[in-house]
Amino acid sequence: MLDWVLWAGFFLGDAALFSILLYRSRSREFPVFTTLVGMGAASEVARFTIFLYGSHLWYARVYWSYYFLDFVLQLGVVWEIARIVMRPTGSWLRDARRQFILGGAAGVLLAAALSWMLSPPTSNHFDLLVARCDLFLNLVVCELFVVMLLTAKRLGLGFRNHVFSLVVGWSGWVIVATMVDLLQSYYSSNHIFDLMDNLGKSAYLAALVYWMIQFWLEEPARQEISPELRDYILALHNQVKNDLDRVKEQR
Amino acid sequence: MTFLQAFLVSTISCALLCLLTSLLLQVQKQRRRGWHNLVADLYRLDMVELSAIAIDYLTPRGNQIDIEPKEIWEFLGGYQGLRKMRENAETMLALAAYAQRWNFAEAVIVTERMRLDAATLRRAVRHVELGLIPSKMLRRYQMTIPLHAQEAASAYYLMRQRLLALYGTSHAGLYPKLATAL
Repeated sequence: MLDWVLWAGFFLGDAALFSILLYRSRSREFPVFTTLVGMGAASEVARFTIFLYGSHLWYARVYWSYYFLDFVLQLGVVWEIARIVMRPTGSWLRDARRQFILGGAAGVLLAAALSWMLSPPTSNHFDLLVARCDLFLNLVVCELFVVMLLTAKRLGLGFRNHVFSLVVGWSGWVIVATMVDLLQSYYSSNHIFDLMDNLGKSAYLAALVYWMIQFWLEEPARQEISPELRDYILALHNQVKNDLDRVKEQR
Repeated sequence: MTFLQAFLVSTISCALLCLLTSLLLQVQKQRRRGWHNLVADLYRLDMVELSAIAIDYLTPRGNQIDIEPKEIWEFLGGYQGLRKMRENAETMLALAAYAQRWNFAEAVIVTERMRLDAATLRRAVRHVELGLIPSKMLRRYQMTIPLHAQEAASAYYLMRQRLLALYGTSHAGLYPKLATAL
């Protein structure tokens, strides 16, 4: 019964957040996040219908197709957040993009190694694969957030309300989900396994409610940067880059 | 899963989660800090000696070896002095960004310039930190350490001058307190 309630909660939560993002025009700043939420709502309906009327084979096909797309979109949302935070004037800050990509690549390798080491006491290969993929995805997102926050802190970059809410909500969910993945890898009892699973799902529902409130609220208006000012900043970044390249060549 | 695997996975994952939580709390704290809190966080540095060393680096004149490397190191307060400069640089960046509220266009440019100075400062301090490792192990004085420290001091000096000029021209009310703190 609880599973059904959570399933309905996911659909309603995703659909409500998707509507808010469109209605309050947040989709302009967060197009990938809006797509992810909208796709989440659509997939809940599709999977529920196939679960009731379709075959196991089709359910598995839809499940894995959605899983892969969800993974790509989640990485896209992290990139979207990084672009907003690390381009306060419309152009990437020097070193910020390179550091983020290098740090992110190292994080992916670490997440892959940790997930590969995980071997929960499951009965079949499918469950094992799902457990490893879940942990991998959560760790990748967690590491990318760490790299982004460290880079932003080092460069003295601030977070505006909406983007910070997105990071906070997502981090809270990822932290709970990762803890659940780790605990599930130790406990084979079905009762505890299900309890943990529901805890992870409830964390996502809580994040959805938090985002609904935050994205409904307005944030202080941002002053637009004029094209002349943007060109000046771009020239400033390019000049510094050229100077540094020249110094490196001379060395 | 062996004990070692379980230990590694749990430890590294939990460390990552703790780091993420700690960073989020730091960002949240930073977002809530007002102007007076930011100014209160600034360390007091001896700007007379620091300015002399920075100007010696930025505007070369005759007798460029007047200040000995050891004097540079002592005047700047050694490694502790450099650490304070690095921490002040972060606060100064936040103060420059704060000025965007009333003087947007100029503050945006000044913040970007200060960010580049801060990058120079951090790089120079990192060179000092790397130089200090063999220096401590071999118990031999590394001549390059004070030179990087001077580079850091010059970047700090530029940041301070840019920030004071920004506040001096755009907010006479806050300028005196900032000038006193810096």
